[in-house]
Amino acid sequence: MLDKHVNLDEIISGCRQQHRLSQQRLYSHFYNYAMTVARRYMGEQELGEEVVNDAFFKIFTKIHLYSNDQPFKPWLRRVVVNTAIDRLRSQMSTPTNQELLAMHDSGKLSGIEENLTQEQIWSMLDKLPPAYRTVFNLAVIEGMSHEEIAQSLDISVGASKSNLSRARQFIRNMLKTEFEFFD
Amino acid sequence: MQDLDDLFKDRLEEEAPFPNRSKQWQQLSQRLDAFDAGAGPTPKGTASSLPWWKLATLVALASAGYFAWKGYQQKAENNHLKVEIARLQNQQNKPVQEPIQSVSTTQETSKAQSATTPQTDIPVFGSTPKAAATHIENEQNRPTKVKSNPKSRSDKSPVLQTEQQKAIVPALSEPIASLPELPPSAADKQSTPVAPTVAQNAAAASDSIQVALALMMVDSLQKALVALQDSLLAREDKPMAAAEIKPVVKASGKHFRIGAHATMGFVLPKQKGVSSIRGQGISFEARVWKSLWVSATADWLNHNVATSEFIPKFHSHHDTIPKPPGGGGGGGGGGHFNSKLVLVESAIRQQHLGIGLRYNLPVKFWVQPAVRVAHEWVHISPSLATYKFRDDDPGGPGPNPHPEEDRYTAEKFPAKWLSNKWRMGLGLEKELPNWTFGLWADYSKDLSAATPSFDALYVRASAQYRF
Repeated sequence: MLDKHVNLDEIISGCRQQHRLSQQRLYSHFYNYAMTVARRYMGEQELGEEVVNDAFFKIFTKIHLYSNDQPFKPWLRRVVVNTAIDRLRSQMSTPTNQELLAMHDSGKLSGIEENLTQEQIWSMLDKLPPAYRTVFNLAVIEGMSHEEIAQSLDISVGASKSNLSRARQFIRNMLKTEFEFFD
Repeated sequence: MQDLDDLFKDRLEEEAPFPNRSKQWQQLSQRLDAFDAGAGPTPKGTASSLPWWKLATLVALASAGYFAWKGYQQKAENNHLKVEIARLQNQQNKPVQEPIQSVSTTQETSKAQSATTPQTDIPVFGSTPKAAATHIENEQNRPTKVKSNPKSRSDKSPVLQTEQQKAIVPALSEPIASLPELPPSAADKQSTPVAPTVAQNAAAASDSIQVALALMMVDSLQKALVALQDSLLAREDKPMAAAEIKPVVKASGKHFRIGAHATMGFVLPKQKGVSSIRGQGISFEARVWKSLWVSATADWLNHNVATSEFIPKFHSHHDTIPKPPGGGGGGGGGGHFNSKLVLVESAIRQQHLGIGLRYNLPVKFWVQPAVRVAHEWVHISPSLATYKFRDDDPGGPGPNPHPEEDRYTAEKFPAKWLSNKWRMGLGLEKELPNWTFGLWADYSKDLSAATPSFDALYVRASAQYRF
């Protein structure tokens, strides 16, 4: 728990001096946030935990790269996302042109989606193949463009678009079959 | 599609609680410990793991290795040159020794003859003409024996080519040639055909003083020739000796040293949670009298402290123990009167400035033992200390209101100077012509009563340039 009497700068200052207690405090404070980000990408909690630990290891050993001028949380998020992408990059697949042509975005939510619980959302996301889930996360949650996604994942822009479309299609199918949310 | 995206974005951005945080932290902590133990590069600007002290150590070790290798090479080259010089000397001595042997053979012959004819030298004045004739005969035989190896004298040896010798050799023969012939002895009659002629002429010569003078001249000239040969040989030997023994540059000719050293230290007595002390430094030394040197050193050291209690001597610049966060608060249950300090963590950086004396013990060995003593001023850099408090169970019915809740506080402390620290050391040094490499064990003792600080044992590896 981050004590109100000590601000984040002091904790980061302690981390710069490799104080284990400061590192523990930083880890404890941002663990849930980092897990939320990592879990979205990895689909499984165990893999998410591995990514989070990898990300914090990078943060603690490269804390000197962090500048106090920028906010810490986005920097941590960036590290977690990049760590997850590094893990997932090898699992990325490039769809064929036929797959690209087959992709189409259609359908609207029926409005009952508000009844979806967070667990159901997570469940659907977890069921996405890693490539689709990664692009979906980067595009929808992180708000990255396809060019940025293609650069991050070392794939083509077309592949990024394809994966996003297929991810959406996948989710729609789940909503239709499992929850009957689509018209 | 925007609805679907918004739905997922909103829901997935919500921060959810995840289990296994403590377990995951333990794993990460172990990983970080392994990393700090040297498994990889360390970030810049951290007190606990400065890469430049490692770099300084590596440079010192590399320098020591390089100069040791150079020393070994030099030694091998010297040995090779010695063998070569000895071989050349043998080659040059062979022709030179031949005339010496000839002369000594002549001398031995003369001595042997003198033994058989004891009246050869002095009794000449009062001796009979026969005895004088025997002496002359012997002297006439000498050049014959010396000329037994004329080539070696005239061609190879420069000894007989000097102007002095050229002047002496005719002088040796002239008096003999001008001597009147003496009557031969019985032995002479058998050994040489010249004897009868000399004996006949000697009979005709009545002036025995002239004969004696001639003999004296022959003896003195022969001795002069032998002495001249010896002196010339000795003169030829001199450059050989100088080439064989190389002049050694002794340390006594150097009066200053400047160098660097790497340091590893341990607190005494050993305290759990206090890391080893590591660092590096520089030194300057000047000879004040024979083996006594005055030295000035500067060391940059650091170590980590993570103890379960506040130990003042490891926090010399921390004056007070901080209160637990929220402690002493009034109502609302905000106060934590039962909070207990369970961990103090700090990275300490120190700079040691020392002035002292070093004395090289009068022991001749391939390494030079030495002792030293120095006074040190210690500057402790500003540092951040983190304190961890844990709420004790207040007892009574019901659960602990703050179960397993750790509370932290951190404080930054300013720099501080300590004095009256003394360092006593024993070391071994290896001296090369321009460099000295040393390995030292120093015991640092705090004699200050004002501010507590710890004692320590340091091991230092040093490289110094002498000039």
